[in-house]
Amino acid sequence: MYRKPRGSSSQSILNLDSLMDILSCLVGVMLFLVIYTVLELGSTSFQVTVPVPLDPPVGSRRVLVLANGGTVRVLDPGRPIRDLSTGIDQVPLDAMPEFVRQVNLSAPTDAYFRYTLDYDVEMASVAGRDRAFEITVDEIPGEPGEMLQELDPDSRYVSLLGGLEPTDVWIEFGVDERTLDAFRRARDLAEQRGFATRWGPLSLDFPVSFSLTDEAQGPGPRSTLSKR
Amino acid sequence: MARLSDDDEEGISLFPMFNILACTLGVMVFILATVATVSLGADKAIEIVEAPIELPDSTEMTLEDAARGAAERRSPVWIEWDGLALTIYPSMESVGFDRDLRSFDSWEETYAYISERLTGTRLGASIAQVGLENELRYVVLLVRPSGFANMLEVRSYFEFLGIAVAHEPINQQWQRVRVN
Repeated sequence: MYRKPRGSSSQSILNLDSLMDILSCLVGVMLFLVIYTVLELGSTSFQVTVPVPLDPPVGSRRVLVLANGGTVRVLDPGRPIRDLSTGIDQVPLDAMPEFVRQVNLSAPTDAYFRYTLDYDVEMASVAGRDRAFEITVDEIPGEPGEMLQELDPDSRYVSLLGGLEPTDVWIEFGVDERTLDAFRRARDLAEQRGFATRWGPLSLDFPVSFSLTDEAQGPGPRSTLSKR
Repeated sequence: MARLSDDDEEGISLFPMFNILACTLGVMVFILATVATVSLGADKAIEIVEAPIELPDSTEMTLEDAARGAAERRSPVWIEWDGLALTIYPSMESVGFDRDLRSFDSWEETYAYISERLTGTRLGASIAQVGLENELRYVVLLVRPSGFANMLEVRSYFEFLGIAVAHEPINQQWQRVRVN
């Protein structure tokens, strides 16, 4: 009697052809992704350009641009110092505290900071009148400066630079670790306008005081004078 | 006796389906990880290049332009400072400093300590070579924020050796830095 041959059950239900097709397709997709990722990661995310440092113009003065806390602010105490110290030489020593109080009633401000004059009577008697004066700089509330996204040719920062002449001033950036990207952008904008620039690490906690006789005219990064 | 059930029915197995499902899930997780990595830009290289100097015609050249020209002829040597070690690119030879450079009272002591650490190392030899060729080469100091506080000491040391120095901050999280 003829008996129909029975194939094994595994042969009838487990055909691997379709599984192989799917596996090949998935392996192909994974290979594509691996190649794409390798190519993508091998590329650079962006370029940093290091400008060759050049000497500032002869006779030019320094203007500090503070790149701190994620924002950029111009700190130029030149005009406020002139305003605060005008006529100071004509004031008698005993009238100086009252003179300073009167001057500070209309303390000069700029875009971001308020400047006041301090007078130390004891210091005046010990070290002389000139060393007794200090300028104190404090932030104006609600004027935090401009962030990276706001730094464009129409920004306040650029308009403030527009009031300065590249032949008269050079710009020193005081930079903290949170503001590197904004600093690079601000430096590019300054260099496009012809300013000589420098930078140094600086993190200021306001209010900040400096001597009226300070030749650097304001706060700045550490200098070689910090050691003997 | 006749059998009612078919052979095919008795052997339905879900194993191939589970295999496919597991495989598909694995691929989806892989795709997700890839997309996340690429979109976050993790481990991307940062390229640092020297800015070109634009000079006017020789007939209109000023003293300042001549200084620019002299600067342009120099080629940069890239050295990283992270507050604890100096590393030269691209060979990545490094020398560590176990004392805070600010702790020295005088510049003389600071320079003596840095020289002592560099002496006998390949990095020290490279820096000495730059000092000998200071008309042709200058140092670009790439400073991590962790090295901000004592950057002045390192910078002054190069200047003490007669080497012109430019310095540039680089972000702390940048791991793959390429110089050009």
